[in-house]
Amino acid sequence: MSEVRTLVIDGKDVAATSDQSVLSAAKENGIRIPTLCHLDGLSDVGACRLCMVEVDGSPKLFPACATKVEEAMVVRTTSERLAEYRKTVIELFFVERNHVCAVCVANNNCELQEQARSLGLTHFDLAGLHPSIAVDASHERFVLDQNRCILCTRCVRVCDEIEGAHTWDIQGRGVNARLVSDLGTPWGSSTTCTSCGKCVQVCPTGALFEKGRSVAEPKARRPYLPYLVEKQRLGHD
Amino acid sequence: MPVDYETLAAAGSIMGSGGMIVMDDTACMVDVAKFFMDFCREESCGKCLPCRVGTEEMYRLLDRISSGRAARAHLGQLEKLAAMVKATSLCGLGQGAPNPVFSTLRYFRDEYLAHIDDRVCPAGICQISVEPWRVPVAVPVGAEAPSDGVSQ
Repeated sequence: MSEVRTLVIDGKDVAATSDQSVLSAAKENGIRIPTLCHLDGLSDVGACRLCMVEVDGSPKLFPACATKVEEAMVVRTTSERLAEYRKTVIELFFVERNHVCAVCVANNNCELQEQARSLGLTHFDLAGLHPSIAVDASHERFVLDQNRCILCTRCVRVCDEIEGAHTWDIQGRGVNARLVSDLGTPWGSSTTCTSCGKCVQVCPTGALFEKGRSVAEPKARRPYLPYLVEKQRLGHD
Repeated sequence: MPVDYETLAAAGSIMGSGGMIVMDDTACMVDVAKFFMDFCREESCGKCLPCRVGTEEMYRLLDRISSGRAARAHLGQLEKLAAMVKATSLCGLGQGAPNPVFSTLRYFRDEYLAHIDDRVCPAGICQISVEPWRVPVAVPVGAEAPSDGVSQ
């Protein structure tokens, strides 16, 4: 049974249930915390570290998506330090792979680009890693371009938790981590993929996209979001 | 120095598995920091961003400094990134990865500056790049630019 918890987020008194995350409690009260790997309706992994918040009484920062609310918690979602760290998070995403907005299908419809814009990131100080990564266009309808992948694992989770196929997973570690289908075989020859397209609709960047779309054309339709929202609601009851 | 958790933490170190590495004055502290960062980037699992990319970027910055291809701005970048990776990483590996950078900078900053300003490795360990290294300098609008457009 979940119980009611009262806490303070950005000076605002907030009530939430004990199984809610700080992120979900903040959202319900109109407090926006930037996120990338989080998607309502999917499990949280706390991988992108963009939603880090300060909690009174601890020198540590906490990922709002993966931290449950606690009684009498005092949370701050914005500070000079957090703003600087969040900018660096976005900068690290950009320098990790080969993100070229001008020739990307997701241009102007990209969550990474949008976060950079809203956080006021104008240039990069760090050197790009420029990995050499092949594009997998073997699937009949979709393309995987790892140059734009930020390893948020939304596709992995939606495929596993909603579609139940678990076609996607991560192979390799550190900067060599790559998204793979069916233990590293081309997407087109996958025997588990149902071609449902959920992964394409939840991808925050242009890493997964439909064939035949030109630069900046597609808008994520997320037709499966009602299922995700319903699942999240059931999880709370 | 007593070998207990509190004392080691205060000195910027950790107990780990209780191992100890003894170095004398012939070790280069930039090289030592680079060695530990190489280990961390190799061991990073890649789940969270700051550790995955941050350790790799810090390694590249340390490599730049040790090979005499760095400006003071790169040292600033390294310190800024190290603080961010320590504060935002998901597990102990990423949170501890910047520690050798912090402790070598705290006690041996002069060795970093020798690599950067003088392009010299005081211990004679690091291979200094043969090519002279100079960075283009960004000048605020209205300010006077250096005559050759670059700074050391």
